[in-house]
Amino acid sequence: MKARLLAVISILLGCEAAPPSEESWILMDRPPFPFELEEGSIPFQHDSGSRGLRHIGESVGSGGALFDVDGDGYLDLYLVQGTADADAPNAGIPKPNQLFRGTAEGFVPHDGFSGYGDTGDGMGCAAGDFDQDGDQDLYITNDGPDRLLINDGKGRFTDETEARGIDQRRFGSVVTTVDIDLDGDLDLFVGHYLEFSKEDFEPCMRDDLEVYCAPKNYPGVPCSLLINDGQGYFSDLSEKAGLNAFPSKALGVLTTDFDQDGDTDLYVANDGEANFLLLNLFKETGEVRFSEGALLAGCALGEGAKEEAGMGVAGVDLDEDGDEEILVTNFEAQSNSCYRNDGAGMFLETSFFNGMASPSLAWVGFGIRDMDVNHDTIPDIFVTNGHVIDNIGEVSQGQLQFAQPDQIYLGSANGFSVIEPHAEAPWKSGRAAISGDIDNDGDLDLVVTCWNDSPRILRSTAMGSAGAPVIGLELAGDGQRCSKDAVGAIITVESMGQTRTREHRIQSSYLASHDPRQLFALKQEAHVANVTIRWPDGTISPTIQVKPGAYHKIELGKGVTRVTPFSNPKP
Amino acid sequence: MPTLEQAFSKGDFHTALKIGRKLLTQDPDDLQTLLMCGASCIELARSLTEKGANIGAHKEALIYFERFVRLDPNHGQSRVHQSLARCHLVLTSHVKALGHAKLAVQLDSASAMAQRLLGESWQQNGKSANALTAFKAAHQLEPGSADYLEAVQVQLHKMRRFGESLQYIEIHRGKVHSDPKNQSTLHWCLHVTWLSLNKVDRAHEAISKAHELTPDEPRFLSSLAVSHYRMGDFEESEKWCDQTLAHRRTTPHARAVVQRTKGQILMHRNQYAKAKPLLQSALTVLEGDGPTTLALISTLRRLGETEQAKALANQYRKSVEKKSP
Repeated sequence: MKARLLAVISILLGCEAAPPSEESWILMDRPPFPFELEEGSIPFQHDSGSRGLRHIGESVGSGGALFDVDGDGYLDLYLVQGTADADAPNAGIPKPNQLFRGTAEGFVPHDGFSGYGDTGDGMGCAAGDFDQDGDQDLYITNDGPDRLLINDGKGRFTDETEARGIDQRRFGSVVTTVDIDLDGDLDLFVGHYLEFSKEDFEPCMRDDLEVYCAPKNYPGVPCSLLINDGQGYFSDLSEKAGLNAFPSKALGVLTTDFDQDGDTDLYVANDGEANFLLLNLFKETGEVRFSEGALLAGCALGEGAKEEAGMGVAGVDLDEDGDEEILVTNFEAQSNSCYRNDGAGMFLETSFFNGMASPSLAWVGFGIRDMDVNHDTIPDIFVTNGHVIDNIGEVSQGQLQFAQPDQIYLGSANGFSVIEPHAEAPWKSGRAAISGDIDNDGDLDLVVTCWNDSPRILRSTAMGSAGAPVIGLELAGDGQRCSKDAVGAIITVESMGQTRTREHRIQSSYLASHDPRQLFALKQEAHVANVTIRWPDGTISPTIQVKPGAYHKIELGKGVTRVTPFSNPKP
Repeated sequence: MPTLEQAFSKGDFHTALKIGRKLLTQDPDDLQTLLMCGASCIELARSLTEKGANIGAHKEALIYFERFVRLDPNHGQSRVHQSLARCHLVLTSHVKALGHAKLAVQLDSASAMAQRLLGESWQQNGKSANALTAFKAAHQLEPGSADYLEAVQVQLHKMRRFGESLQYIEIHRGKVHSDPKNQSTLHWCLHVTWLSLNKVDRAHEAISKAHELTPDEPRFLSSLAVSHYRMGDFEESEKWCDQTLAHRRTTPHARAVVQRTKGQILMHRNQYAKAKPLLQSALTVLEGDGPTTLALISTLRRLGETEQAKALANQYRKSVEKKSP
């Protein structure tokens, strides 16, 4: 019976359809959207910087990060803020990025934190232990100079951008941590959006209405690769790595070993242009160099061979075959993409086959997060939507809306069915979907940033309602063979005949840096899971038996070094 | 041997044209024969699925109508200018088409067809707003004809005014004749509009209704195949692909579209060897088509034909770069 169910799931979620099974209906009976929406609980109002000039950069921000700044066991929340051009009418004083302390009661401002408030025109950020001193630092992308903030372990940050070799002045969008040269530290891949000049700006019109111009009106800009020396000092390897040959309009990046040769490759979602698959030649040549192969691999273009407006990106093994599919959110009239990973660097766009495509056509997708929202062990997908043209309602004569609903693509043996997680709440124009277990109760919550609006919390009720056993994992490298954040490690969890594989990465979605801890729901009757870690250097740790109900810190070469039980379910 | 008029009135345009050609060898200046030969060519062209043959038929029609006008410059018949406009539209002689369409409207402002041809001529000349006005005028003259409604819808879509298109259809759908042909065309318009508004479910309902009303209409078969594909329903999609391929009036383009769809379905079932010939065949008609090319690249790679896949990818990349401004 179980084998049959697994077979059905494997066929289907790998992006194919299958006949309904009795088991699938049982699974569908569970609470379909276990989130409670919390509006206004974070005292933050996003400022896109829009003051009527309609410069394209205003329309795409901003994101944030969930990470434990001060090591107190609670996730803190960093939110990136936009800024108006200084010479714009009513520009006002630039508002700084904000850092909120996570507590049992929620996110609160905290006087003990300092130095985090960059006032650049912010887009995204990445948290990571860049200097390998045991705490989480921050890299912030701006439309303008990026910033590197070094943490003293207590949330007191120092801007060490220039001192540590960072000189990124272009329109930064996404940033992701990756150990690209397998030397045990965190390198940085910085996506750039496009080249925009205020001086050359010409308004774009649709009929008689001025609208934000499309990205096709501007040239692309190559992404940057910043190599860490192990102490948190960076050198720019972009040109040597061949990145300058690929002008991008990057908004989303996914890191994984797509060609399965032992080093990490990069997938770049471009806005309005073909996406890139940058295959790292490090293993073959001993040097970090990229060859671009998305067209041949089958993941450059969307359904219908369209150059789509790639925004957010996620990686998830939907068909339980040990490699991750690539998911990309796109513009309206472009389906969100599901590139099924067939191994050996080959992909097949399958969104119309698994139910992902049609429900996405009406919306402009931004943040995307793979997660098991109902703890049924089948991956689900959360997408936050929102238009980029603030007057689209008027432009489209009411056919399209600027504020749009969030969606959950609920996975089952029959593919995805879509629900709105908080249909009763007013729509907003969503951007980043940042995930983390903010109340440490063993389920994954979300913070969704909204354009020119306040962020919302979607607090998961899965632990309280689904009742499934869950294991939590925290990975730690040694800073020599593997970065302390263990980015790039492959986690395999086996339980009750089901084997799931997940790559440990911290940044994905859209301009988001997630809780670095990993959660796996198990089948109801499971009492234990076998966990195997393949570290980025290829070392495979002995399989560990892990019991549900707690976070288990697994360190390279040491095994489980700490067990922290989950808090009581909230709510 | 039937007479020219008899054959023409029976709708046997092939015979009518044969007789007419013969008559013209005897009397090349006979005005009535010239008109009937021209009209027969245009009528015959309606049933031709090959683009080349269609152009050939209109070229021949043009010869007859131009000769007619030379011989009788003061004929004053709107229909003659309508026919000339039609021929020039097919042959993409934009300016000449517009001239004749204007004359046709001047001679008979109550002719919906003349207004429609004027719309098409404006459209070919890049004057969208003028085209829309003319199409709406045509539709106003014959509100019961879904063909004229469709002309408005097509123009609004060219202008990317999809919401307005839906509004227009909803306002006017009550006046469309209740016969199956007109109603199926109405539902076709709804199908295309819902698709453009990204409402796949509504679009599917509409195309299903259109097919139900006129089951023999081939353009609905291929659309049903693609619609089921979009809904993720392979089995149904494949069924409609096969029906499209079997239909005697399926155009080469529709045939290629369903070959592509069938090929894509086979790919998703990991039957790449079966998908390959279908995709190759589709690509001969849909030259440079992105979805077909990408599907074939993926198929070739999975069949181990990597070099062919690379060559096709490079060729496609170059063609896309060439098209980019």
